[in-house]
Amino acid sequence: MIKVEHLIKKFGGKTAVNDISFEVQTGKVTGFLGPNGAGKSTTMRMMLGLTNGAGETLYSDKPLHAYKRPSEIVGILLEAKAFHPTRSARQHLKILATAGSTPLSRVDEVLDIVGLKTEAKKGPGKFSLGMSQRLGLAAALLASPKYLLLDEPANGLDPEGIVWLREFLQSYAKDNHGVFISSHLLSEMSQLADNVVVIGRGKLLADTSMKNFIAGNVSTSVFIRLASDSSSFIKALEERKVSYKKEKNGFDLHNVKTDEVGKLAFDLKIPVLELTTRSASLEEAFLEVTAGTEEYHAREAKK
Amino acid sequence: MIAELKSETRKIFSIRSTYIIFALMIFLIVFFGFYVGGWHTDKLDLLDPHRLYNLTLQAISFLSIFTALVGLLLFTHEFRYNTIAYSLTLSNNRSKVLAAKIVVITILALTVTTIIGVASPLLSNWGIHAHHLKLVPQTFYYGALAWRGLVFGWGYAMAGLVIAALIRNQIGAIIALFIVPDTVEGLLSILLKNNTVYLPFSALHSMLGAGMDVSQGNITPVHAMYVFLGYLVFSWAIAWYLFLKRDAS
Repeated sequence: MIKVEHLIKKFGGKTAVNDISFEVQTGKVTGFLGPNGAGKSTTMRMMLGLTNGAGETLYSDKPLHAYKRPSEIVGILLEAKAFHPTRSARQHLKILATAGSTPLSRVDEVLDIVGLKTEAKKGPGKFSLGMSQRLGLAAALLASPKYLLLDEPANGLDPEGIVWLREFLQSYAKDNHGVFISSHLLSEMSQLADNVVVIGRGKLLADTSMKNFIAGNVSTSVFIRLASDSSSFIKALEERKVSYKKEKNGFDLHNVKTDEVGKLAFDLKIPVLELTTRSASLEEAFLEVTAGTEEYHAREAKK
Repeated sequence: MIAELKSETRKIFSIRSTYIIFALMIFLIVFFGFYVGGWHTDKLDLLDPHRLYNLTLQAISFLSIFTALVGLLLFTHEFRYNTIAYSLTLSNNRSKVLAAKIVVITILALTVTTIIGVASPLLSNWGIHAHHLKLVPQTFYYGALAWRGLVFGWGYAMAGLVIAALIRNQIGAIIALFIVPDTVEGLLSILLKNNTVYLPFSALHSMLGAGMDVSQGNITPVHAMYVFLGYLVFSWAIAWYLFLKRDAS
């Protein structure tokens, strides 16, 4: 596993990363979430020793640079456009393979994996964001490293690419690798990640499984839409001390199950038009946890 | 370290700018060697027994900036395109990455200077004969040419690299490489007069002794070399420390 211990980074008077500790387990995909400016990229760069600061990161119990070949320990994608624009994609990867003592035969293999084999001779300066991300992924995968650290790898990928990325990373993790991935695509992350680390304003807000994170921060509710007068229904809810929220077309009920609500409506002889469970989403849980930690606020759109 | 050396070599020879710079350099070697120093030679110069020797030193003096530029780009491209993140995570030691750049640029500078040193007099001699002119027998100080030429070529390349390592910003480093030797030291020479030779690039030119517009002062080529090396070692000590300690972004 990757063990991140007490990372602290200050830029001038501002603490960008404030005593963050967490673990990235092998065999699992760990999502890294936080609002813009929360310190995600800085944390990832500190984990790699690119940005200096206090604390340490251990990869399978050793610092990254204690390994003879760090390329076999961690593969990185920190920036989609981290390449010389006129150097061909293949040459770019050959340079990285050479630096990491990786056989050059891997270059064409990884280009094939990410679907860029036909573009190998082209300079990536004119690549789309999605193609650049694929090249970055190819670079990360070169030495088949034990861990992957990916910063927003899904940005710019087309829907097919996103599905491919999800399936690829999940299968890579299952093969006893650790994947640590930051993303703002929360719906995608909820499908991809097993665990989640959330930070806001440089502080750790959550480090848990995805399931617990959602369940612990947003409760599921039941929505019911009735066909007739609801006053008797409201009275029955209040008698049973069920918390509810009246909405435009119905009621949002908490701490009850659909079975109980359906039975209640049946007993009251009120026709039901709609009865459904509203599942909590990662987005809701994320917004709940990070509320007040956003660094940047946009103005509300005019209605 | 071998992996870093191979990787740095690949970096140099896999980008267009290297080939453009060397193509321009080859054109200038041929143009100044064959045409300016050979075909177009002034008749009085044909009587100079050190004509080819001096032309060779001048060629090294003018053309070494190209290797310095290659070194500068090798370094600053890493930060401009953020490939430094890869370089520093693929290696287990930042010093190895920096040392590899120095070694590769050293080899390149010595090779290029040797080529200039050999090609320049041959091309000039060829130009003179092609124009049916006759040059008096020439005296070459091979030892002096070798050590002064190689130290100059290497020194200039190292200066380019250390400027890049200190500044990191590509445009800033290129500007510094072009204005420090002439403009900055030229202005300082107004103040320093004969002591101008104690400035780094002036010392380097003084060591080469290629007839540059530099106040020579009372300084021997060996002494001038030590002056330049002093600046170089000091600059590298700072650059090395910063390379190890600064955030790589």
